[in-house]
Amino acid sequence: MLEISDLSIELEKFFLKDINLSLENGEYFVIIGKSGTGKTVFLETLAGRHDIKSGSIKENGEEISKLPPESREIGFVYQNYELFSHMKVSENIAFPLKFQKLSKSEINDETQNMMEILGVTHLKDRYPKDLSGGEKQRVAIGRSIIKSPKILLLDEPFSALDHVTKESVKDILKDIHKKFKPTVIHVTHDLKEAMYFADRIGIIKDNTIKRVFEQEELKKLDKEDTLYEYI
Amino acid sequence: MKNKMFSIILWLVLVLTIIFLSGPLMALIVQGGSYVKPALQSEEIIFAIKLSVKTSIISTLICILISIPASYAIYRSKPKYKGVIENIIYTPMSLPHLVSGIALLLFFGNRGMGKFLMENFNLDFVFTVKGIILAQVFVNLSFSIQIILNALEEVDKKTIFVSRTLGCNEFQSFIHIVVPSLKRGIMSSAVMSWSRALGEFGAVMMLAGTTRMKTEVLPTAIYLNMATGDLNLAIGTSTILIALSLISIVVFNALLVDRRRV
Repeated sequence: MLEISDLSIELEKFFLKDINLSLENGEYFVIIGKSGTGKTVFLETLAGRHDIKSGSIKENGEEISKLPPESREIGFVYQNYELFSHMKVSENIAFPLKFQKLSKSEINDETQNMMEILGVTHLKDRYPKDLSGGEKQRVAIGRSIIKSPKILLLDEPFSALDHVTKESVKDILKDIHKKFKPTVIHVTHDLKEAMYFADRIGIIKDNTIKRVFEQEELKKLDKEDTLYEYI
Repeated sequence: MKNKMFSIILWLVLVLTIIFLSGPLMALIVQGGSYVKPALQSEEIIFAIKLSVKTSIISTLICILISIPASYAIYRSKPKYKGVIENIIYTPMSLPHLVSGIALLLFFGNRGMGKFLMENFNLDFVFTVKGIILAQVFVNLSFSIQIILNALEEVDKKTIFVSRTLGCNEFQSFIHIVVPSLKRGIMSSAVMSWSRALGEFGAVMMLAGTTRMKTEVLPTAIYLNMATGDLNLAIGTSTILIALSLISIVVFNALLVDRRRV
């Protein structure tokens, strides 16, 4: 379980305050909000990029807000992928396994499995510059999940993709969530995308998470456009 | 101004620039070509070539080894400190090399730091080969840091952060992500440091002196032979120095071609 209590964050020119959120293990939570409302800052803080001002972040009862990013068991995917340009696809995906006590053959097997799940085996020797947007995003998702993190944070993962590519990567992400069962926090401004994935949806507004729509409430909404009223 | 006229002016400026920059060098190469062979038969010049190559390689390695972590520390520092740090580090770039030499002599001479290093580590920089290396490092380190810092500024901090979420600690992230991303910057810095070290004279002369066959690098050899009136040997040595610089630039530029990145 991920429990965020009274969380406040203060950066040089921006702040978030009084965020309270509780996510069940394996839950898929989507955050929507306008540009500049602090969606990315919120995710980055959970992953350890920014210090918190006050409050707590607990992962299965353990306080993680003081831990360095590498100790938080959180995967992170940015909208512009952030693949390592000097590494091939297979090396990008295998990268997190290098820091675990695994043999070379175990690393190879796990990497091979992940590439098959993502459908990128044929691209294994390519460098990121030779991939399309959709291929890059699949590699970025695979790299973030290969170590089976407890939490996966997705920062507008499809915003740089065209419609057709987006649909195929969405299916892959859904499959990956079913298979690995991480708790996901997915940030987007696309309401259709939010409704497709979300168990619950949070609205970020006025420097906090203003409202959370439970599953039952989402089912009652006749169309996703209704959510616009709350953003 | 019409387009054609503008193009002609641009080309004219470029051609004049090329003539201005390459003309004197070509004149030296043409006139000095016949003096290269006698220079290469001189024991003194062979000594100077070997010492120049040796000291410039060592000082380049030192510059690179220092400037990578130093640049990364500046890159990570808070903006309010960054400007102050950069001002301090870049000051030697604007100094005449003779002034740098005097400063080095005062700091690493027989008083203060120099005395401490001599007594505790047996490191003597005055009138020694170590002094040549120290002077070369001093005049090149700021440039080296600036080049690598420029390369670092192109590395997305988000990429480094993602590597942390993937299990790297700060050091592992530095080794596996930051340093490989700096490949081109490191190569450029090495080219610049090595070619500048090869030609460094002012600071070297002040700290290491101009002792024939002891602290005699190529620029020192040119100076000594000019001073003693052996103009032919000085021209031949200058041509060798130009050739070494040209070769280094061509080799490193070839190495800079990285087909994996666009």
